[in-house]
Amino acid sequence: MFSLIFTYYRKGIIRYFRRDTLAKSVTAFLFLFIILILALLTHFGFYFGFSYILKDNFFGEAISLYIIELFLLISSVLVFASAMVSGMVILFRADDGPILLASPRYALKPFLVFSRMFFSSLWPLLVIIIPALIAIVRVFPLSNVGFLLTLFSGVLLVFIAVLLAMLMLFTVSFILFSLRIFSKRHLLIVNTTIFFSFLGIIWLRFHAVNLADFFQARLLSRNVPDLTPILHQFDIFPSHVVTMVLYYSEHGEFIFSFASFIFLTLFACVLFLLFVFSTRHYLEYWQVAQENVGMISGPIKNMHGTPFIARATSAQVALLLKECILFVRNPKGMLWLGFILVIWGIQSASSFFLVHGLGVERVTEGKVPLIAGAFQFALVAYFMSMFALRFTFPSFSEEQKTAWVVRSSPLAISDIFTAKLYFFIILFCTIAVLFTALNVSIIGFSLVTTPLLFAMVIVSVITITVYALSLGALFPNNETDDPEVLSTTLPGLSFIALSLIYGGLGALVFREYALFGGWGFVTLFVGCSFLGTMYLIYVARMSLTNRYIA
Amino acid sequence: MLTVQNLQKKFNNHFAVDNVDFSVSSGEIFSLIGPNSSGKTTIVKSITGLLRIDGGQVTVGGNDVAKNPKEAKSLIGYIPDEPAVWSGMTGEEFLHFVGALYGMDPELRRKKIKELLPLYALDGVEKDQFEQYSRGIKQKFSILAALMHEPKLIVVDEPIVGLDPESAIVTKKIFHDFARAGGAILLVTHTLSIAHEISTRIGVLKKGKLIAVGTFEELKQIGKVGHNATLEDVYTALTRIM
Repeated sequence: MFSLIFTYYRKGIIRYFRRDTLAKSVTAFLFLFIILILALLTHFGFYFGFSYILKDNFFGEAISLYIIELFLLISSVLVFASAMVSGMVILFRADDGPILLASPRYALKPFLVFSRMFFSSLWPLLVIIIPALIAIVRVFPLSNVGFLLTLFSGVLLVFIAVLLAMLMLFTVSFILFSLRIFSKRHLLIVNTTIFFSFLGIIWLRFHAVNLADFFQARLLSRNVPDLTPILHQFDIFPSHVVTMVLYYSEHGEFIFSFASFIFLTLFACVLFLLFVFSTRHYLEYWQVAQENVGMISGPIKNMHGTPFIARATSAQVALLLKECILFVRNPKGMLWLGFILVIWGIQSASSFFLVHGLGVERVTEGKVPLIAGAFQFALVAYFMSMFALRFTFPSFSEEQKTAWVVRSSPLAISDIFTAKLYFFIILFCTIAVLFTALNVSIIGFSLVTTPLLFAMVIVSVITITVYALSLGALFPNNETDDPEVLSTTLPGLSFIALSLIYGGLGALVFREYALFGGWGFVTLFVGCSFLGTMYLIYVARMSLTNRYIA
Repeated sequence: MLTVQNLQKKFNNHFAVDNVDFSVSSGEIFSLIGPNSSGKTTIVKSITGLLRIDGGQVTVGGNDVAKNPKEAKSLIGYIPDEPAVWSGMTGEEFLHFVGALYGMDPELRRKKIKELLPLYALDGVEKDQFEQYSRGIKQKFSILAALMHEPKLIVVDEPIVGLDPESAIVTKKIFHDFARAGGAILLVTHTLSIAHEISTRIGVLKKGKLIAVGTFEELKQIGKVGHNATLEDVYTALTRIM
């Protein structure tokens, strides 16, 4: 079975490089380069962060432990959510491996999906975990054995997170199937409900924590705080065991470290056996999931969108409404939107814990560091880049097959560009403004910085959206319409790299203004954004018009 | 209605269409037949403005497709060989959407949809999403979409692929009625029986060149085949000798 899976991946890589080898090699090189930069940033971020924290004799160890627990918990939740979203789509999609499902080896499909989820979740985490562990080795007394044990525990944590997501999918599928109500829509509703309930449990466990009490800041009789409350806070999550492997290794208690590792391994084995058991009826679930495909008057009825598009008074309005309807009716896209919003929500929640978790000693408006505004701006730019990479950049390539509808009509091709631009700008600006307002209300910015933050957020969202759409229009991909694959092409990578640099520059401009005042850099940033936006719109529209007759 | 003069289209320095000339008058059904890679779909895409042409001229109702694309395209209804439509859209939304693209007002669209759906007995399924439709139903909706704005010229690429026999008969009747009402049809196919059955004239393509044009009787003479010959015989003879 594993040799077959290995061959599948090996041939996939060979197939990928067979055409346009040079361009794809450059893409692969740039991809590795970006990973290296990310790894270096992570390493030095952790190294300097831990070095700074450890200067405090009282809080040093407690805060470090808390950060590691929190980091592993958030990482495993994200891996779980990502595997759940991708698994839900890939496991029951009609066009994903129907030949395999029609063959006698159909039972391999769930394992192929699982391995795809595992490896695609593992490498980004390793890019973060390995540099973080090397930073820990440099700061804390961690031996080579401890390093390896922690690294393997991290890999096991990813394995467990993906397994738990798949197990949840199969368990819910089994229940829905037994109740004769199995469908992709029900699966989506139940799993999303379970996931948000799980997030609710985490919220309940954390939101009432008083950080001053938690870290025993007022306990003057001891040299270091008691770590039990911190460890107790996380002990229901599998990620806690990984922290314990690291913690025991740091303190030279290798027996306990090994014991924790063995416990994690056994837990993973039990979950894997349950997963193997749960996949027995996969083919039946898949068959039912296909029953509404190619069958009219099936369970999905869409009465809601029709009145809107029926009232469209012009071609431009119809194009805009088409974008809205298709965006809302794309379950995979909506899941990804929800997934990225959850990550943003976690960030906002952490701001809440930080500001409100100190009880009476909470951070007040005057004490908010000026850099917080720049950080908020950088976050908005980052999340908007993620949205634009996933939705805006691939939108022209995704519509290659259906392009005949609009291109054969009397409408100018540049009108399609304009409609997409309006749609994404309205959508992203709404999301960005809402989240900025949420974070501003949590942290409590001053009356001077708040309007500037909102203005700069809107300018940057428009610029990033225009950049993503223009790049997608300038370099449409004829080989694939899969947005996840499109995101990792050379134009996709260059978009994310430049977009993040733009966000970073914007954050610096904001910081300069907050620290020293003066509108010089702000004016320059807004002016350059405006000129860049106009230029990109012009180039993209010209390119589209020249490529097609109209 | 449609005039194609010295049409040329190159892909990687290779002529996919080489100096093709033909015209389609109002009330006429003109079929282009030919083997795979003979340039049929390239001609269709050049006429409908999906591809830029490298040489020659295409006019629809006197409008040059390259110079006045909006005016030319307003007169065309296009039915592609692959009815790829956004899977999240319903049939009704698709028809409204296409109607809006051609400048029809909402009320007119509603009326037209009510009139068109019964042609293929699609009433009742128009509120399902495209992902639920079979290939045949997708094809029927793409045919109806081409009729929405009452075009003067219909350009069809493989008209009955995926349609059941009953729907194929309906489709042929739709085309006949359209031509009888003064519309022009350019039909591209390698289903010779369809071309024979409904065409006024037929053009035979081979390696991007139009090697013969005429009525079925004229083609029989050009191909030097007997009076009882079928279009298959004519086609085989023409593609062999030319």
